[in-house]
Amino acid sequence: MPSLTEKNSNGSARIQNRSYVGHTACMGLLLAFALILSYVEMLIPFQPGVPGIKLGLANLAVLLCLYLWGWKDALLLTIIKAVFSGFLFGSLFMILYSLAGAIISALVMILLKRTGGFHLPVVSAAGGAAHNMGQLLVAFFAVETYGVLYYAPVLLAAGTITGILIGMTSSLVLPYIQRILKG
Amino acid sequence: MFAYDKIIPMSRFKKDIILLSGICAVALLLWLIPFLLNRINQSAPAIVSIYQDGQKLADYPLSEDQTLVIPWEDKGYNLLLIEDGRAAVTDADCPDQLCVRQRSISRNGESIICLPHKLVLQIAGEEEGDLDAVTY
Repeated sequence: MPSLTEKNSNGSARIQNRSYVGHTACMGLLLAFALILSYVEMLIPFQPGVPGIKLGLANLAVLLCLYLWGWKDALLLTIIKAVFSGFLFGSLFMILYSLAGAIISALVMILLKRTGGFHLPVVSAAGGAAHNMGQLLVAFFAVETYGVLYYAPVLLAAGTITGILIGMTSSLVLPYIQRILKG
Repeated sequence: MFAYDKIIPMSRFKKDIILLSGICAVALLLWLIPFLLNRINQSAPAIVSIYQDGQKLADYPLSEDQTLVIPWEDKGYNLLLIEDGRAAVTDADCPDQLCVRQRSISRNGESIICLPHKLVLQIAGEEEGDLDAVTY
């Protein structure tokens, strides 16, 4: 942890590393963004018959973080987002449940981005599919019934479609944020 | 024709398309697996066992289409129809007719029961029948 301030000759504190502070602030903004999106998502009455299908709006923040600052920050944001939104809107079991999905999703997206050649919507689609598969695995170990796997194809398709939508949105938003950060 | 391909060459999306079709293929495969498993289960030799008054009268394979009359103490009867791998009671002279109204059965463990005639029809796989004998 580098020290943020140092005393100059006048004895007043001066920010040593502006970009570090800016980065921390932006991470905080993105986290707030992700949490608000989780809340907005709860408000949207989007409840198809199959449990586990959701828009995954909060993934927007993770995607932006991944493409703005790289994989370490994206992973950090994913974990903090899952824990915080679990505490705010859900229960302890929900944290475990969403952590599994979110971490697997983030890892898949990170790997695909590093592999190169994949466009953002597709990376996001794979992330969405991986998220649903991760949650399904947790559900599978929780109830220990093969019947859960009956939902697998539906969840896979749903994760892909919502992932593409979220990915398209973030690929549209990304250039503007990059311009702001540069300027 | 306007050449879209020259503005945005499709080759740029080659990997994208491969990945997306891969996900679709996995989804399709997962969707098909239950159907295939059901097929295998159905092709396994299943039998319908007939119990009357708690005693096993007979086993009949579901693979053979046939109609059987199961008599009840010279007073009544149940008509058992085995067709397309499913068993159903199509006619009976019992007072409540519940056995006739029940859906046809084909899966392991499913049963049709006629209480007035103390009749139980139960589906079992061949192996399952052996296990039942062991537990008794």
